[in-house]
Amino acid sequence: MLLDYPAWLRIDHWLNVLFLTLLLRSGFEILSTHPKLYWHADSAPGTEWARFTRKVMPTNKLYDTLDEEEDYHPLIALPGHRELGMGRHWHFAAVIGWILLGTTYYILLFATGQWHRYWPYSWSIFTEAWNDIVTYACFNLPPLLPGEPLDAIQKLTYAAVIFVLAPFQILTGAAQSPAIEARFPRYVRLFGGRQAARSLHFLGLLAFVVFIVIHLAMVFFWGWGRLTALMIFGSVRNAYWATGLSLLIIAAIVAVHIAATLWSQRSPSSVRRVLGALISLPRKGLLRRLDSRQNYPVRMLSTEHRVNGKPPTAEFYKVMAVHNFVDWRLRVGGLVEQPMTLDLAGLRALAEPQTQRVLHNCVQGWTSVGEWTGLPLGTLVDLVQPLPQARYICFMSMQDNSTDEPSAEGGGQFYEILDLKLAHKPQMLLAYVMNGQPLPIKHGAPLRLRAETQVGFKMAKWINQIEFVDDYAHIGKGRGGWREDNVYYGMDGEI
Amino acid sequence: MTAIADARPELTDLSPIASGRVSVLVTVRGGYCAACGGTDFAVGQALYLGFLFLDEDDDAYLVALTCRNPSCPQPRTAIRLRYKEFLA
Repeated sequence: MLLDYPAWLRIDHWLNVLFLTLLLRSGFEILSTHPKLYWHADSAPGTEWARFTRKVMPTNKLYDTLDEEEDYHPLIALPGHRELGMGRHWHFAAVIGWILLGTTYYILLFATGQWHRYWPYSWSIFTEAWNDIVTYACFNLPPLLPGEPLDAIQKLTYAAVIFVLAPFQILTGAAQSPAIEARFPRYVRLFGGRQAARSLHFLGLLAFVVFIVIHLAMVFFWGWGRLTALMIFGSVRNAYWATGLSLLIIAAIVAVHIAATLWSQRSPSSVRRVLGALISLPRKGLLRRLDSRQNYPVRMLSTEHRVNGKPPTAEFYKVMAVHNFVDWRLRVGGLVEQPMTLDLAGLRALAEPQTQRVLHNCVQGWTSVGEWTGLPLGTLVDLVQPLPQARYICFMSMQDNSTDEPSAEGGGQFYEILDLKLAHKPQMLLAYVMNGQPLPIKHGAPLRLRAETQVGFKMAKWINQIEFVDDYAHIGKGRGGWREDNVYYGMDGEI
Repeated sequence: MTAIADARPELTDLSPIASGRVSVLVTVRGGYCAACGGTDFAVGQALYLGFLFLDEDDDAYLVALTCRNPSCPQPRTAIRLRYKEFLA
């Protein structure tokens, strides 16, 4: 078997550089919005094992996780400057490309027999690999394996990156999808829980960074022109041309990064539209069908549940709150046969309360386990009888981000739109109780949505109005929710 | 399922002394019901605003007042007080 550098392998290599660097930068962007890592699912403040922020949060005032966000420079984050919506779009679009590329790589690797270049045929390779490390440490170059293009440590390292690290990153990434967690909670526990999966995903990212640094150093020490000739022409020839072309390819990849950054900064809505169309294929095709099957034990309930979004500062809200929301009313209307106006007692009387102990997934990456009690959303939908043309549910909040959330981009009344088809999925809940007590003010009192296959921002809090609509183009900026309008998140929250 | 409590965790019951201070302060400040003009209120629970609401001073509280006029169309209102005014 000739272990050479066929054209497909060379093309895959350079495309891998592109996708991997896009993943790394967008990954740092996602990390920046909650720059703390935990091993426990409750992400309790002060329990992080790693933090990438110097911010100190107040103790005398309610702060939320928007206040904790960091502003990373575009040199390391795509696009940088606290643009989580853009970072998520790039990360998910790049991972789709990376998985497709990796799949073709695996298929061709095994179809052409090139997998032999990575397969350790003898235990002695580990001894040889150790000797290679010692040789490199002495600033010498070790011998290549007989008849092979790599030395022993290179062979083992590439095998580990291709067959262990890359799948590991995909698996730990998938373990962070709310829809996958909700449907397969045991899968998440395989990694030690949701936050352990996030921490491992980060360590995997670091491993890739270390690999890239050493890989580049190896290419440099072995001879940049000679090795890039292998990865451009397939053989050692025209070293000067290879050097020039390799720098040209790297410049093209850098240009793609610069273009992606500028596009995201200047026209985030078009990035959202274009990349969102690509991402919605697996979101709706694979993840939408998953139902939540969570039932965490009581012992796993988080003692503290972080907050994203601050309570309404309007005087009418505070007066309602001090009277335990006796004067609160929920208006349910729009395209329905039976519009309703309910007070809290009336809402509670509609049906037997349903309780669920579930993992909350904030879009920023933190989680916690809570017990929520309330009215199944499907029950309310059945009672109001949506008209045939109703396709979406709009949850309107008493929170006005013009005054209530200085850390958020944009202002106006908070709202979120949910596809009506989701209403009857299991564990879709209008919650008025949390952990056995009336829903706390900071968590959305008196009523909030629980949609367990979605990321947290879809679960509107401080709800006082529910409208059934046929289209959401005329609501807000027409993107399907306040966060979608202002932070450019995708409308579907399954990942 | 965990037992469900009715008491809202953010609300504090006031002692008779604290309630009395609130009533006095309502009178001193000339407080009246915006809905019916009544001046007789039942004092309810207190909500600590200072921690929860970003626009409030650290020592701000809201105390529930309910207009005793049986025909009042909107009897529930409140008065904003500082800690030292009624709880110290």
